[in-house]
Amino acid sequence: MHYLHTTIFTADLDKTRAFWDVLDMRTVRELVVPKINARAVFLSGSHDEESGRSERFAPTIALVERSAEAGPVGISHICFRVDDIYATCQGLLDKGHTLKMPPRDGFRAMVRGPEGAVVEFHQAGERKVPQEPWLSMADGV
Amino acid sequence: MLEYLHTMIKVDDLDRSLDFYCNTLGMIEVKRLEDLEERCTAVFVAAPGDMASAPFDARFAPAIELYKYWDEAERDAHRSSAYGHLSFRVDDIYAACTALRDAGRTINRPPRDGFKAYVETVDGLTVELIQRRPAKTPAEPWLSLPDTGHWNG
Repeated sequence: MHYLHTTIFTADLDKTRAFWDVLDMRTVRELVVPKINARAVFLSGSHDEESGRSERFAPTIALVERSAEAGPVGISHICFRVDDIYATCQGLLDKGHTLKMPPRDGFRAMVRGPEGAVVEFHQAGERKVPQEPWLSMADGV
Repeated sequence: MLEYLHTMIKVDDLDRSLDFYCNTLGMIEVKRLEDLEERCTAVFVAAPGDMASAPFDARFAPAIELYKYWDEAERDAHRSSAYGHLSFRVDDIYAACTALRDAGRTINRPPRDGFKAYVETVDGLTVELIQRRPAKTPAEPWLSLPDTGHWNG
């Protein structure tokens, strides 16, 4: 398990990027999040740029653009890469936690921590084959 | 150089949050600060896969900071979000703060101590800047700049 990024929603990506540029952040990846058709950029501090551009892809901050109507701006979640996302999620279920987003796709999952912060997990390497019980598990809160 | 240090999370019950991050998720406590001045306990936890990448030093990176206010009123004043600041280490905190001021940003907590500053981002987030050790010698104009406005933990 290792830290990947903290995701920040912004209503104006260009303005937010301009702020982080002043702080010597470097763009290491740009993409469009298909599900919400949103622009996203991943930034690493100059010290972390090489690691951010590598397969490790960390540590970064992810800026994701979405309109103010779509939801609040600010920090959305903290993301970690895990070796076995099913084992991680099973461990959470065993402790009585509900998954905000079960790993139905074998790659991503989310849980809300006891203090309200949202933690996201990405499967390391190839995504897992989608399977039960995750496939038919609905989103929690 | 700018180096990511941590994201801060404000917690209500430190034991419950530590149980979640350490016992359930397998993260490791790397540092604990009892801050008498700011009246808080800050516990830094790191993922096991990050333990090799950084030494145990004054500011372990990358990490999550679990932040417990001692005073309930202070906690209530910061309840708008579960998250507090994003923290980065810089080689020259005065140069970083000067660049921010030149870009029209207000330094909410100027680096009067030559070590730490807070600045609010355009999205209302708070960025913490930490001077790479050793701390700078306290100097003007920072020494006479007061705290300004509110920053989110």
